[in-house]
Amino acid sequence: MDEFHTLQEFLLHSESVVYIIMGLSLPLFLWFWSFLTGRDKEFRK
Amino acid sequence: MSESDVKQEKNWFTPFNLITGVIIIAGIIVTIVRFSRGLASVSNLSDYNPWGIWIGFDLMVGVALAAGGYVTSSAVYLFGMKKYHSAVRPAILTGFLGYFFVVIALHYDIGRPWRLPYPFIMGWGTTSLLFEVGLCVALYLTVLFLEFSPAALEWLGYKRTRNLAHRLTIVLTIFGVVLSTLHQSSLGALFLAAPSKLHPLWYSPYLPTYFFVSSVIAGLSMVIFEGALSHKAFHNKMGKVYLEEHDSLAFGFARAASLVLAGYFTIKMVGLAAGNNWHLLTTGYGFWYLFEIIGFVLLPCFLYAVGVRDKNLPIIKWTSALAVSGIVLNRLNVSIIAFNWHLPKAERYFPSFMEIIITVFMVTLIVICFRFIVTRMPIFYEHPDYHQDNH
Repeated sequence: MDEFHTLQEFLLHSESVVYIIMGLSLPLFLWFWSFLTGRDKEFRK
Repeated sequence: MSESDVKQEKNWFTPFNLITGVIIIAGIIVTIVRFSRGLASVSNLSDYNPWGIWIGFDLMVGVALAAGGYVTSSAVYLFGMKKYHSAVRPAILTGFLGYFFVVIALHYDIGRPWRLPYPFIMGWGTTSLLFEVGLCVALYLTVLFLEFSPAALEWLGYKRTRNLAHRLTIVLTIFGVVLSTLHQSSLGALFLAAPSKLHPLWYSPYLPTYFFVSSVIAGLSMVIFEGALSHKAFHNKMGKVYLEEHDSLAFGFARAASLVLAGYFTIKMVGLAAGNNWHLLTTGYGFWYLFEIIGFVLLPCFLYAVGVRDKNLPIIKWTSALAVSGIVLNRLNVSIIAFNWHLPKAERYFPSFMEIIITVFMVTLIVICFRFIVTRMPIFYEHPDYHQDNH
């Protein structure tokens, strides 16, 4: 477990990870949307 | 053979009737014991564990799974997805019965039924989350009753009253969404009052958001699940429109559920990161948490997506059962399994046999009422007199 001596250290670490997750989730959502709707045109024909 | 002969030959000793009959008799006996001898005589509740499965399952799970009503009605009436219109009445009925029996089950836990209206009459506890939940549930149950009333009034033949109730649809839908958003999230917020009692993997300042977002998943999945079961049990009661729209409804709701599950997974990870609780994932509770997240969030998210992509209805139906189980597991984890996690094993709560009987009794009553209503009222079909009104 990481050791934090101040609240500032803890928040800097945890919020940084949150920002990384959010940053990664945005392109992942775009990929997921294209996966979800990828065959829609095929079925409409 | 005359109609009266057919009625006389009707067999009452079917497996369904026998099983439900036994459950109802057992339920009535435990009800008498609970209300005559008190809570301790039928439950394993204690000062350490004042909330058991009557709250964890009957209330927490019941409210979440009844979310199909506001999810479907808002999709149809507020977002204009008219192609799902045939699903509104079954969803509203499920929601109404769900909430109604939540209130009935609550009586077993709190006792003294005549005191139920006290918070609204004797003193307004406006600083209490439970008061907010109670008020919202009371108001939303009224809203669901009014939303459901056109079906009952059509059956009874009260045309003018039915038309009046039908005109309130949009207003009631808006009320329903507002009230559901409030109390679904407040049920999660209840646990914010006990940060030291709930395991850190489940405790998060985002608990209200988790409860609300997962209620949307529960609502969407429950509509698919209930539709699949009804399709088998009440196929002969379904109208042409319902049968035609059923597949596209399942695909549409599964697509939405898949997206919401992906969003739910993301905010769960954000919560985990904000609490910096990663190291707990390698503990026993951590494996249980991963089992919930991977087995009942990520897996249904992926399976729904595959089902929608491949237009595979059986996968979607099975996945809806998985997602519904996931909601049950999540609510039980938060309210019972991961709650009081630090207590020694001897002090941990496990429901008594009679508590389980009451919970099964409540579920059985919902099924019986659902069956009674859909075999009589226009739920899966349109009443011929009101065909124009419904579109």
